[in-house]
Amino acid sequence: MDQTEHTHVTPPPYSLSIVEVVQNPGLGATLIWSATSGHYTEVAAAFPLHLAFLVLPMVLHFKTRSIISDTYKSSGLAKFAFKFKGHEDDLLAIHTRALLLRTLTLDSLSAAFASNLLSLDYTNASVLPTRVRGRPPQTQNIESMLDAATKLGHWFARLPLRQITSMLRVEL
Amino acid sequence: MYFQILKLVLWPRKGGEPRVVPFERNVVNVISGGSKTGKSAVIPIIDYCLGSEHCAIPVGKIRQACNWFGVVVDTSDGEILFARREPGDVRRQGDFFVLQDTTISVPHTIADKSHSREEVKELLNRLSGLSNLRFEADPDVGYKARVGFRDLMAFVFQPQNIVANPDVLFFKADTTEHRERLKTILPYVLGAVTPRTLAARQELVQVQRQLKRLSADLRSIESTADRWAADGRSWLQQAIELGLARESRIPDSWPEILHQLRAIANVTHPSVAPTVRGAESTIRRIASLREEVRRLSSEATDHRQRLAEIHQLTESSNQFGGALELQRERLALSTWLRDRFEEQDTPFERRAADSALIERLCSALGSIELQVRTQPMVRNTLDKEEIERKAALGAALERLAGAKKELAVYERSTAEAKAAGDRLAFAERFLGKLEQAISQYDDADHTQPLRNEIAALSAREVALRYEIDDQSIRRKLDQALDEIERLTGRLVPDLDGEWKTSPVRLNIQELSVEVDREGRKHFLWEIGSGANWLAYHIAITVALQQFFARKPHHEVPGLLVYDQPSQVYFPKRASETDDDNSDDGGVDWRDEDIEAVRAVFALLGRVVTDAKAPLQVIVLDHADGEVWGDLPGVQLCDRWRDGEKLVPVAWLEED
Repeated sequence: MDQTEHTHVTPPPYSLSIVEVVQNPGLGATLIWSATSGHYTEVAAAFPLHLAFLVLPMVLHFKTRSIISDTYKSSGLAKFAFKFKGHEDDLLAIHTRALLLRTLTLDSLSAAFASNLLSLDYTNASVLPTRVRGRPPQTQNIESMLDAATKLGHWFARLPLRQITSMLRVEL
Repeated sequence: MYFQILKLVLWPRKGGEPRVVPFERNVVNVISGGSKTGKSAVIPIIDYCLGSEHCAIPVGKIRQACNWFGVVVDTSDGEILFARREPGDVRRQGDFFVLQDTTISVPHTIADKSHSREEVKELLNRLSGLSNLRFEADPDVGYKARVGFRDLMAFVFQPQNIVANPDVLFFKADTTEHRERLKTILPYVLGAVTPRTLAARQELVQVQRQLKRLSADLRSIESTADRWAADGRSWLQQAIELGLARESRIPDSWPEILHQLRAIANVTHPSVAPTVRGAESTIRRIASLREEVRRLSSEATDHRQRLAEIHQLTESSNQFGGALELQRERLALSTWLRDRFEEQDTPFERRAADSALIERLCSALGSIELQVRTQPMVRNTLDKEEIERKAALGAALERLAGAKKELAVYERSTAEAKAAGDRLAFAERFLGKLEQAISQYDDADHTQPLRNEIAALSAREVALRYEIDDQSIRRKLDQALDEIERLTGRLVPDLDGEWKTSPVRLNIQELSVEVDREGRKHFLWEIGSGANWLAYHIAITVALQQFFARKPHHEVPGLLVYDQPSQVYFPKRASETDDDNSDDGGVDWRDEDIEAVRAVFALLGRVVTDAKAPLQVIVLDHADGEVWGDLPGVQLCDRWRDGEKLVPVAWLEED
């Protein structure tokens, strides 16, 4: 077999290794903030804390992120979920990853609180972005993660929590 | 399947409050109305909102006055509003707005679409828990595609033109395509064909394909090449490196490789000098093989992990019809955070000096979780995914084995080359080994592993054939039909049919019922009288629902909608659809007709009251309270008379 015959998808350049991602609450904080800012742009409301725990499992996973990137913002979460038709085990894996990444999400959230990117509303279990603009330029790969997170925020804003968890097969 | 209609909603084109018709769960809901009040639009509206291909809502006032139609449905996954845009001049309008929540409050207006028709169908398919496998693996046979929620509407609706029709028993079974679909899916709906049968059918196709391929391999030595060719290519590569052969393109097919190797082995080489370029090309090949092995291993690991996850879900989850009620660890942030806080492991205490704040947060999280959890776990069918993952894993492993084998040969020989030191001696040894290998190849029956593989696949084929054995499917189907016959037999005596004790059997081939009278079987269309036709329609649709209710979480919605069952008892003048002009409830009923229609309502009321699984019935009828009043399980949900109609009159007035 010749090398040129490979048809697999190679990971994009500058991809962060798993270790880098896991140890990088800074990136996690920025991603969760992106989602909250997308959400805020759509409905000017606080972001449910439960949903913050779905951002990293969806955005850090290359295959899932690609599907987010390939879906128009205007199409919404239903269209995104529909794209898993025939390989719904990939959709069910979001929940599995959400469990695995709980700690990273928590560390990311604390980084975001500490740096004043996000503020926490204890009474309503939600977070608010302290600003919605002004992200510094990033490498292309991180840029695509931030875009995906922002888009997720927009999608989440259009639906009740109950519908989001049902669509993404996530159990709170 | 728990699926009950809570509201029918119409949004006016010219703005204002939507019109909401409410329904009760687990009772017979009667909408009683005069002619031309919109009764016959109800089934088409519900069907349209549940994803029908075409809009059958009558063209005219209703469609002129409304721009969206909707139904709020109570399901095991919470309440869902399915709203769909009025199609206007478009033949196929696919704009849906879907809202899902623990309880739904009807939005004042619908801003825009959120779902396509395909997405709605997928959502409904998932709710029903139908297997996502096709009936036949051949995708060209349309009516053999997977059973979908849409197909199940045949067991739910009995519109005015069907409810007492001698020729057509089921909704939409008046077109060839739907008839074929129904014949295909009935064995599944009746439990004779199971998701497991479908999975076995799919796997059988794959196994047969593989068998065909391997048998062809066996017949032609050309194709056993894969394994030998891998060895042969590395032999050639080394020969080039040792200067035993001129560098040229290494052929792909085994016979050519063998031909070249024989040529090398049969020539005496006065000077054996390895060339640098040859060595380089070996190194390159090794590097690319290693990369390929790494990639294929990770691909295989990925598939394996997913399969393990699917199996784990399958084993740990409850079966819900054909679907799984997933049993997974919940995200449970409220308890998780609390535990971490107690272990002093949360970052929040830096911001919150006291634990009161954390407690407040956890209880807020907890109450949100409780709200969302009022419903059971999510459900999914993963039949198709499992089969496709298995196939992908098999393919990856096969390619991996080939690449590993070739790599091993290269790595062995380069290690040997290093150890040998003396290039010349190595080259001679190489030639010696090459000759030995060629003669080994000539002697060996290298088809043995292939034969073993074919034997294993053939055994699997036999096992699968046994699982999808037509005879056992037929047997199960007969048992189901016997059971339905028994259930029908308990219903018919209470209705106004002529032959109260004659056995009635569903005939799947004809999609009709056969009535056995004094040893002779008569199809529905051979029996006279509208009263008989109505009795058999009611009895068979109810008996089917009772049959479905016996299986926990059956896929068919526990819902029946009848439009104008009393029409066969009307004086002729009033029985002509909704087009006559009298807006009256004042049809002159004869006593025996009232009794006959009342018997239908009484039976339906009894059925919902005694149902083993939740069942909702909606009846749209001319008949008023005098006919169906004071019956247990039967209640009025709306009355469309004296100017009251489905569409408020004000919507139709010119501004």
